[in-house]
Amino acid sequence: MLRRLAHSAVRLPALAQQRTTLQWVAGIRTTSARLAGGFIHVESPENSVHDTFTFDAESEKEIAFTLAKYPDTKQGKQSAIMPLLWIVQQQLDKAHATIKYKQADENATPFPKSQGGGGWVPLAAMHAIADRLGCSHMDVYEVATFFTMYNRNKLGKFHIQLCATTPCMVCGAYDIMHTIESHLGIHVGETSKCGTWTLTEVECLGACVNAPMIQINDMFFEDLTPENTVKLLDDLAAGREVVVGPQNGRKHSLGPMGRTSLTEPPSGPYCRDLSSLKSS
Amino acid sequence: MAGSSTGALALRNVAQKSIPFSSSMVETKQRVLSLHRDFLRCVPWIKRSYKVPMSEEKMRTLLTAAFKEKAAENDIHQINRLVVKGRMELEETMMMWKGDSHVISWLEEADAKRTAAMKSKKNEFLDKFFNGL
Amino acid sequence: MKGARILKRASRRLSSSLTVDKATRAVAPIGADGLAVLPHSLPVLNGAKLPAVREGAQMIEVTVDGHAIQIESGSSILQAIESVGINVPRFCFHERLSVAGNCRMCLVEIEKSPKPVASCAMPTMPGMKIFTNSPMVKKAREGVMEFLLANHPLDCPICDQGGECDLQDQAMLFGSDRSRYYEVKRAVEDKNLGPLVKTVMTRCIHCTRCVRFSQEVAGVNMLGTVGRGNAMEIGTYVGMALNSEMSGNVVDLCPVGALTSKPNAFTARAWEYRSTSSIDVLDGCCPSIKVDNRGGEVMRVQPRTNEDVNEEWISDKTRYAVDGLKRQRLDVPLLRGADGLLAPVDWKTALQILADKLRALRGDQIGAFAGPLVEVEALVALKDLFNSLGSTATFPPTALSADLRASYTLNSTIAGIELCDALLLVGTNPRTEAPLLNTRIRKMVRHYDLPVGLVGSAVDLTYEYSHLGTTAAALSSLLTPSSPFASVLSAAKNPAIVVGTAALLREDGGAIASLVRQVAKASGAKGFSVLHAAAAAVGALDVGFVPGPSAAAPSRLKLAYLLGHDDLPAASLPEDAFVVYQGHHGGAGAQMADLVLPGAAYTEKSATYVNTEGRVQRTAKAVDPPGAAREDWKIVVGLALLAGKPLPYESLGALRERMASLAPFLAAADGEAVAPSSAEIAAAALGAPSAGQPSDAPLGVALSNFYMSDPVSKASPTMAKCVQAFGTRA
Repeated sequence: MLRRLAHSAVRLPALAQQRTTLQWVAGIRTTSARLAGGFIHVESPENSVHDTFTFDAESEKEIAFTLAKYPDTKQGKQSAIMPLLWIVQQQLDKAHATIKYKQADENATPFPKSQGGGGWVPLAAMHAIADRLGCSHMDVYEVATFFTMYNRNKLGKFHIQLCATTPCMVCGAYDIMHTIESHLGIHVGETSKCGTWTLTEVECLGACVNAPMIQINDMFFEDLTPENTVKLLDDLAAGREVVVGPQNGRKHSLGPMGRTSLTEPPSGPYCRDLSSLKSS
Repeated sequence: MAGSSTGALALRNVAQKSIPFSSSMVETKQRVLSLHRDFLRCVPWIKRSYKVPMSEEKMRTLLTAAFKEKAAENDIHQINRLVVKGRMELEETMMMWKGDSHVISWLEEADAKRTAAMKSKKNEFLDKFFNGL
Repeated sequence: MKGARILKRASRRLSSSLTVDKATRAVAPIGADGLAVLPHSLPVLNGAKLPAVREGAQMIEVTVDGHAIQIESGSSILQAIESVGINVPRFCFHERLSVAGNCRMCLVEIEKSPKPVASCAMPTMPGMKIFTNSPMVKKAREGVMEFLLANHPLDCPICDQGGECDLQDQAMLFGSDRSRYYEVKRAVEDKNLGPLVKTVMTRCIHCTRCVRFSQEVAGVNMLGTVGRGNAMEIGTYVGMALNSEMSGNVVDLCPVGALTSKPNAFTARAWEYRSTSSIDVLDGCCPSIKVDNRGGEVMRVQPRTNEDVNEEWISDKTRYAVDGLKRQRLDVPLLRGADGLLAPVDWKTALQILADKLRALRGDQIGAFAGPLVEVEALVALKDLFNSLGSTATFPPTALSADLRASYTLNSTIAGIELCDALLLVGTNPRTEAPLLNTRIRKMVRHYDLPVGLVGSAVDLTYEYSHLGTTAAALSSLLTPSSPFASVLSAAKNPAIVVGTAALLREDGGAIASLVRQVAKASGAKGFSVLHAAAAAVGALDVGFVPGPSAAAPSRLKLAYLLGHDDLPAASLPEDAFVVYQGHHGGAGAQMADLVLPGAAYTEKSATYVNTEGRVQRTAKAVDPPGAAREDWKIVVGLALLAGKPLPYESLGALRERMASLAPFLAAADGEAVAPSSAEIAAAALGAPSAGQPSDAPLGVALSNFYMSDPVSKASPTMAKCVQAFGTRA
């Protein structure tokens, strides 16, 4: 019952309010409500069984590199389903190049290309992957539906993944969620009408020290408050520059005292010096 | 075929088996079978002696049919009576107390009766068929 | 005391309903505590075939509940337990599917193992001590059952599986009487798997038998598990129908009511059926079936295990075409009146009119034609009648030579196809003509990479094969040893060649047959096999229901007797010919007939059929023929009586004696009497002289429509829905 309602909620926004109430009554949050999409393909103009999908030149290069890693057998090639799904998601992350950002830490690794967080895998792409790897369509659907990393429905330009696992929740993740929901007019699992935003709730993204946090496409925005969240969203929508990382000026995940340990460069791991051994 | 020896055997049987009454159905069955067997054994001898214009095969069939006609009989006294009569018939035949025409006409009548029975049986099949049985 | 005995008997009955094959497996009785009670001496497997020990297999000793047994190394624990006759509850495990190990119902205790282990997936080790009735096992089963039932709806009263449900039975035997789960149960959206399989996915316990069946046996990878954890569902993800000719078997496989039969939904409960063991005649393999009827109406058909023919599968046509037995039936004799319309007459009139016609005509003016579903009894009676009327013009649906049995049967046998190491298919699509043979071939391709070559139209056989060409020229090229598939064939130790009737029944069939013989000789094959799509074909050839040397062409006939034959074009007969149709369905044959004699269908008579491999089997009568319809041989015998040519048999027994005098092997219709032809006989069949050159026309397939190939399936609304959903599969 609950799951069925949750399913329909994704498709029929009119039911969204009812869903929330019911969820509150039952006190249960189901997995699928947090995902952008249920476990059954829903035919829509942007994601149809009749579509075709072509890999672009960049993806083809990645695919060739990936396939070289696996044996050239039926089973071996099937191992490439997961990387290929991810390559498709990277190809369809169109927003990445348009985001103007600077890293809170100047020395942090830059993102020259999309990591896939804002992309999605249309059904046509799953079929293209199955045909490329010589496995059945169902084999790809099974993998794509198993992992929450793969988004099977078209997302907004910005995909907000809000962490609501215990540390973030304790630090006010639900305040952030309500801020986003009221600011953008969408609920968890929904895409805004303008097609700019999609909000999903996810499990721990590993930035617990800087909780609460959200991930927008590939970028982490940490140490959020309702105020700086609203500013962040407005900046992104307006195409202004945003700061990736902690939003309160914190460096890395340092505490208020600054760095108190690990002040020296770490020594390398112990390794036997084999060349010094006598060859007896 | 060893006609004379079967004939001798039959005569011996006629002499030895002429105490016909049996007290139980089990015993009756043995007696009837024995009588039937004796008739069948005598067929070559009868054919030769009475100049019967039929194949031995057919004679056996007719004799068997005469037995089968009474197969439904389950009254022990009736069966005893029939066995006695059968023994007497066999004895009369074997002793040449009958004339050729007696034996031949009995067989021919039996044949005609059997053909008629076969015919009526066919109608029976059709009757059953038309009635859906 | 008496009550206890009844209880014990009831539980024994319950437990015996759990076994897959009662005949081959003894069942340990269940004690008062619900656990298996093992006898002090191990049960003898009465008349059962013990699994053959493979050549060179290593035997190890394990102990089951204190009894030491020898078992082949590598066997699973479950096999070891079953070999002593103890039943292990299971949902996901199935003998003919791969091991999944995900239902956990088959947990047993192993000495020194801290946890119970899933016996279906765990191999035996030497000296292993297995306990199947310890407290730990009992608790484990209860726990598993509690989890399975946590999300299972309590809708047994409205569930079609109720009464024959593994979950129901095993919950009664092994489950606890209460649950600790008070939360909301999970609900899952139902899937549309097409016109045959109804889904109630909320009932699904995720055993994945259906998924494994469709991938491994049916060869259509359409079902899968989507999502994960509590949200996992079985489905096709994109909402496709389960597009397979074997899809109905998932209904049997499903241990719960998640997949049930759509045509039979809400029609009857399992305990209302009366079952009859019979065989199916809608394809040439004649699989073993169980005909379930209720109140004189055939409700459903299920497969019976028969290792030699159908293992335990049947095709969708076999299973679901039976609703055609209730529609378009001929139930009263019909005569075409002066107004050109067929009007009912009584049997007497009908047969008398026909008998008068037969009396008035010469032997060369009459001809008899038999259709695909006609049994041997009716064929023999009709042949005898027409021969006594001076007609040798009896036409079977095939035009093969009846001289040598090896030249028209499937010599390799259906089960024997698993012994070949290279296979050549000529002018056939086994997927439609013999779905059960096709699953065997698929099994061999899957497990042993059997090389398969096909000459004929390129069709989807569910496995990989090399397409050698569409015309007979491809056969000629196989005679040159350099061609790739010719070298595969000649390298094989036991190659098999299967020829479809579509190739042999053409104008140039003789030439194609001789080409096939040459290929067989060149490759060292022991003969070649003919695949018949019709159940009547081999029987007709066995009793010599073939055109005699003086057979008149149909265009010269004054009277044509169509025995269940619907495919004779009306134009091939002269305008004034009197056409008699004897059969059970009003199809094309009845439409062109002047006189219609209603016969009985295969579920309504005890009739002998010979399948494509020459296996003689009998159907059993499950229900009565409708209305005034009669068994076919009786109609012919009655007609013969009225026509003044009485046949020498008026009972089924006498008729079968006559059959046995024509072909002695027809006497033993126990379904066992089939053996592959000896190498010499098969080789003799290869010696026939060659006849002309084959034409360039591409080789076709025997069935233009899998779902509607005979009078029964043509009348079936379910088959019509299948054609709508899946096409003709041609």
